[in-house]
Amino acid sequence: MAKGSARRSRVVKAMVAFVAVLALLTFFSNTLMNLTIPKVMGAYASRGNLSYSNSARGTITVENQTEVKGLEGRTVDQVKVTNYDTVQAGDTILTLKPIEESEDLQSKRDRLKQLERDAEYDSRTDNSTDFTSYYDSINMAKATLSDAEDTLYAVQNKDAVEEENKQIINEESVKEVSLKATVTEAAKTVEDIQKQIDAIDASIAPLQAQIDVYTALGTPTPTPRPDAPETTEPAATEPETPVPEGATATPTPSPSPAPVYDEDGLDPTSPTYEMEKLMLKIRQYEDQKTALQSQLESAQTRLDEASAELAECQGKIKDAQAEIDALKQLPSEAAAQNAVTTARNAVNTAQKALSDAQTAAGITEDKARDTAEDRDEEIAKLKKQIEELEKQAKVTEIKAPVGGYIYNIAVASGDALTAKTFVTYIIPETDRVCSVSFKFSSQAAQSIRVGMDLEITSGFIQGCTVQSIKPDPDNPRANKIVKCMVAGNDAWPGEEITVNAGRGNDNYKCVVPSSAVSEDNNGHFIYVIVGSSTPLGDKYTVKRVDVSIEATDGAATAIKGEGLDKYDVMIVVRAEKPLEDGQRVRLEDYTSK
Amino acid sequence: MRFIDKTKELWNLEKGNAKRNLLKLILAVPFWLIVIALFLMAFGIARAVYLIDTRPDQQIAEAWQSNSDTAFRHMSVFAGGIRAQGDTSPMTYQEGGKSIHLADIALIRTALQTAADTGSAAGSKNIQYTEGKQLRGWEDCYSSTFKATVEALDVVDGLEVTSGKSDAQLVAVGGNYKAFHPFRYLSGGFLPETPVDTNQIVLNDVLAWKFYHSYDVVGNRVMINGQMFTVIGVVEERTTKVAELAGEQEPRAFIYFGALGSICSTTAGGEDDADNTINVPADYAIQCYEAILPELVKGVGVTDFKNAMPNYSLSNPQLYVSNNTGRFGVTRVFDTVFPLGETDRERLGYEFPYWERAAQLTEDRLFYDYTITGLGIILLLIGFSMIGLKFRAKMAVKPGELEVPDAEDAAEKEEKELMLKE
Repeated sequence: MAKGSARRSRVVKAMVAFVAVLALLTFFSNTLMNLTIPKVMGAYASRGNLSYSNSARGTITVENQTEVKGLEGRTVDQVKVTNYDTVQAGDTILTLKPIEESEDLQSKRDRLKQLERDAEYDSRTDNSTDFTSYYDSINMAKATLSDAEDTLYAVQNKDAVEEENKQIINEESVKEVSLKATVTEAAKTVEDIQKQIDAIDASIAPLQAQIDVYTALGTPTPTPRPDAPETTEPAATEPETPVPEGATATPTPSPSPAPVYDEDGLDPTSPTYEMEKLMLKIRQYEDQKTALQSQLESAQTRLDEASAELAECQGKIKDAQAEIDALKQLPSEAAAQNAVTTARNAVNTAQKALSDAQTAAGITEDKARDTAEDRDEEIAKLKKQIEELEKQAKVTEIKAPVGGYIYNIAVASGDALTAKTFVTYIIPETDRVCSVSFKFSSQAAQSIRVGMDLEITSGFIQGCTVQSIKPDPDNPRANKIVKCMVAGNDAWPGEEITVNAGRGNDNYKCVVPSSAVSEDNNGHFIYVIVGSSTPLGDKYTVKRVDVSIEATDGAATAIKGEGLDKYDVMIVVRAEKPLEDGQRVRLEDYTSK
Repeated sequence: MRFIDKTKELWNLEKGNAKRNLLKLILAVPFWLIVIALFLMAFGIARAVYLIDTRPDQQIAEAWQSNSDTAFRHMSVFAGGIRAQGDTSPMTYQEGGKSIHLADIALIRTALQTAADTGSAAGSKNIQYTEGKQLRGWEDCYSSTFKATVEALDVVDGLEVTSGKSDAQLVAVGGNYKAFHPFRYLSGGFLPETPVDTNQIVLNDVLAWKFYHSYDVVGNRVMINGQMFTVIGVVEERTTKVAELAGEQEPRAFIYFGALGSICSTTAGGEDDADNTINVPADYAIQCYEAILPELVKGVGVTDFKNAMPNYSLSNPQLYVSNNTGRFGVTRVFDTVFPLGETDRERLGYEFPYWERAAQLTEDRLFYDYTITGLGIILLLIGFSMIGLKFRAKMAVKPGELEVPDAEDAAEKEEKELMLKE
């Protein structure tokens, strides 16, 4: 029983606790809801007329400022000025850390040395390419081609050539026979004549021997008679009468008063008659011999000519036969054609190889030339840089080139400088020429004229006069760039000013309090309240709508966005907490505060 | 004797009960530790969430990021300057690198633009941005505060007369100030980034109520140092304790930075002469510059921002740079508070605007809340550890060895035995 009562007691305690919690939650329900659901106030967008100003913002630039730049490879030691300090020309702006031999300088020197060595080595090298082997190859290929073409030609004209040669053989064979006969005959003639000559020589020899006997016997040597009749032809008419052996020639007696001459015109009474008779005989023989020798020569000539013609003829026959034999050795036409093609290809290949080699050589040459040019350029550049670095190494500070205000010091102690590093601007103390460029819409710019003063709505300058109006390069149709000159020596570069070029007003479809328009990284937006009825009551959520601002007068803003042209769109104009898209909200009682 | 015996009996009985109760109490310690721990944790977390929620101006980067993949970082820098006549003069430029000159804004913006172009996928900042969905780059605003007398004007019989007067804090703003300070609007809106009219003003609810006993005061006119301003909106200040301590509940109005020249005496650097007064426009300094930067790599935004400051260097900062994004995180809060004692910002005597003071107070309070939460976590761990040890000990001994005779169980047992006898 006691245990049961204890359990009852526990159940009762639990129920009491549950009711207490319920009561607590009920009591604080409003508070809890306030904590979880933000309260918003909504308003309907309305049509409205909005007054706006043609405002534009621009940044002052000083046109006659002097830019100070750094020195290559140096490091800032101390900056001696701060922004807006006044300096005179020659004043120190910053000091530089000394450099003995910077790594940069040393590396540049090493590089220069290496490049100069390379250039020197390259100058010794002969870069010309020898193409002889390529030309030889081409010539060989061409010769092969020529042979192949000849072979092909021969193959193609084989029949004609063979026929021609056969004809030659036939013709020459006939001629050969005739020539052989001629030669044989001429040889025989020569031989006969030679025999006759030999016979005459044989005949002359005893006669001469008789004369020699007569001479030895003291027979005077007959003198030839100048008027001796020449009509006689003793050799032809007179029979050969050899001089009898032992006879001696007697000298010719002095002219007698009436000599009687024989048929040979000789004086038989003369002591030299026998000798003269012999001599006459010999002369006759020699005349015959001379005649025969002449015949022999002509016969020999004929023999030689005939022999030569025969040899020629036989040569032709031989050649023709050889040619015919050669024709038999020729390949087929297809094979010859293939050989020509192959040879032609070989020529082309050789020529291409030459061309490729020449191209490759040209490229190599160009590369070498480019490399050399680049190297020369780099050498020149390095020399200049080294010269400048050596010169700069002696510089220990950067001084102000002109007097004025220091503006926009961009370096600090320890910064590494280059020749392009911007150090600072120096702005003139007086006679400062300042300008501002504003971007106006083309419509707003219609009321702006060159020379007119624009109303300055922010910024601490004294005047702003329009100098030029030109289309905006980014959007020439829609916008104009209005350049103004700013008056006053208190204008500083970078200072932002706003100018007003007149006011206007227009009717807009959707005008809301400016508080309704929020902004984030994606642009401007509003929250629209979306209501729905549920069994537990009305439920409201907010939906984000991206908008663009058409105009604003500060308090109200004309916006344009998707779905805002409907009449029942309620827009959040005030929220208790920052909202998120789709978040549940509760509507605020506008009159409560 | 009987009385003594009875007394002794009673004493012994009570002594035994006390021992049993003490033993029960000791055995219940883990439970109570866990209960206390849960309470402390709930209190600490709830308060931390509440405090963080009350400072949406410190969570702008997350809101600005919206749904894009690129993270953003909100940074602020606070600079000094000279106040010629105390709080009633706006800060003017002080040489030596402690001030931010208005012209420095262009330098900072150039540097930020370079950082945005090179260090992120963000496109360039387009001031006249109206359409398109492209990612915007950096965004900035600047401001300076001072005190002035604001007069409310009313039209009586066709004449404009002063209907009220109040000392108020004026916040001179430039850039996209509205994006950095998410106000709750009671009417109208805030000063547009591109001024429509430099003589526009936004009041806070305190000042509006003080002047007009209403918040629907758009179009009314107020005068500051003889310069007329048109009210275009009323914003609501926060009413938390932190906001009150930070001075948010003061009467306040927002004007354009460019309007400073027209409402403040322009004698800075000039000399008053009996015959001839030379008025030289004062060189007003920026008290607070804020920017939101795209940040593809965590931490780069901080470096970019510091590098963009013309007079900032790690060795000699001169300016107080605050990394607003994530400043209420546990590690950041503890990093700010420790080492205990005077912080840099207090030692160097920076003058902070009210929203930064509120953020700093929030950091201080969050430190306590995080400490309480941490204590709760420690107690929770101790409680669970004790339960674990108790369970282990119970498993190690024989059942019933450590049983403590319960009076209720004993009575129940006796009752049961009696019933069986009957």
